Amino acid sequence: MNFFQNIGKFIKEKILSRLTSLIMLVIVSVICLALLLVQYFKRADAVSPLQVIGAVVVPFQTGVNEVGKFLFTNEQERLSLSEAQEKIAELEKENNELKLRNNDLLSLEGENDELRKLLEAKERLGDYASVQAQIIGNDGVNTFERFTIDKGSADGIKINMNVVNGDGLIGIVTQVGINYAIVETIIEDGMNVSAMTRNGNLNCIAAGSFKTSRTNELKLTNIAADSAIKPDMMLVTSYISDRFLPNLKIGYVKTVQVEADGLTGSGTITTAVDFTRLNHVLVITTLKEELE
Amino acid sequence: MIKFKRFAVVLMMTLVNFMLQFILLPKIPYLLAVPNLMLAETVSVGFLYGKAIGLATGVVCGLLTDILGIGNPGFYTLAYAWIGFGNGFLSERMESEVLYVLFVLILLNEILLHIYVLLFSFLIGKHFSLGSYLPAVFLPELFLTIVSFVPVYGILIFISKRWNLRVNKGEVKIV
Repeated sequence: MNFFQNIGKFIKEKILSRLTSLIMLVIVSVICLALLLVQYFKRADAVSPLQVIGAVVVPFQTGVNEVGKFLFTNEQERLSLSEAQEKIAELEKENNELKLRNNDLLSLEGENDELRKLLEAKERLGDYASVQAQIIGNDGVNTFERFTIDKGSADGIKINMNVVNGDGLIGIVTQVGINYAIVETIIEDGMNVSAMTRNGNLNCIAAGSFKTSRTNELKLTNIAADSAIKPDMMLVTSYISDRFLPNLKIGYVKTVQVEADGLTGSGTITTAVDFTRLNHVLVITTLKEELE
Repeated sequence: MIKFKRFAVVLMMTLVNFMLQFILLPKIPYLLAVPNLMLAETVSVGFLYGKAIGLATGVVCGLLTDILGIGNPGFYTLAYAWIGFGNGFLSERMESEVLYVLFVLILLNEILLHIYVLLFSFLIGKHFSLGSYLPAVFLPELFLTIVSFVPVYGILIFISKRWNLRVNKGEVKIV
């Protein structure tokens, strides 16, 4: 008994009293570096016990998100000044009709439409099973274009599942907690999606970047200078990608130009999805690796 | 009792700032970037309450950003832990608190954080180029963070004075 008491006393005096903030800092740093190295060497399924934090905070997030939806509804758009002026002219025409409608009814109708569209998309996706999810956290870190959804491993969500909505491809699940998941969107800088034209003849890469992420655009790369890819062509995900399912709509080619070297071409793509106004999404629970 | 009050205040502020940065503020149309409230919070708390509480706040803010923001545990936690500790360390060695010093402090912290992000993003499988990072991410965020630092720090120092949560510290001067 005396022996254990001595050990307790020893721990208290020699270790706990010296556990200063500097030592804590070193411990935190070592743990963080270890976590980062694990992710660096083993990219995909690095699941950490820290996800417990998610289980606590996610219910709060859901609640605050509801408040946010109330404050900043879907009706507000992000437009430039010239676009806004055009819009005003349009809106004045429609003004009389719109006055008749009740505001509450309008927002309800918008949500209804969105869900209906998702349902249609679900039917169109056909072979793929999917789960509907709501976005509860937005891209709060400017460096990354990611968001949190309210479905997690408890609902069958896994890493590398594709996320879409009625309009087209949104992104891919990169981390899963019990009741939430993080989705990395295709407009994030450094994100590459191999794309092809609708008939599958021409291949290219659709890449996200800082310059284009705020305008719902992607960079178009890896095409030949004399490529038959022309503006207004529709691009879908190709068969070659190891993470993205084939034939999901990415968007339309906006511009194409020949690079300075004269051998390759590049351009921009307008995404089918409006990333500034996302609320509900579909997670396709079929993984690409399962298809092969 | 003071310790408990401090804990409660810091925890509440952290949660409120997290909700603002990750849920409410990104919903505002026309906003080019989101202010980094987690950084403002860490710097404020570190500067007000010293390195131990600064470190703890940094870890919590970092974990929230990592786990619910970007999904890469460890990346921001490492940075914020050092920022919280560093600011606490600095404040313990500074006699007076002049307001412009605080602005220089948040500016320096923001610059250091982004240098860290640019240098170490390869660990989470990203490569950012400085040319597009600077105008598209860094500058808007820097401006908004400096602006939002005023209310975050202001609220914290108001509560601290009201409840006498700080000891042995002088008055805050404007110039």
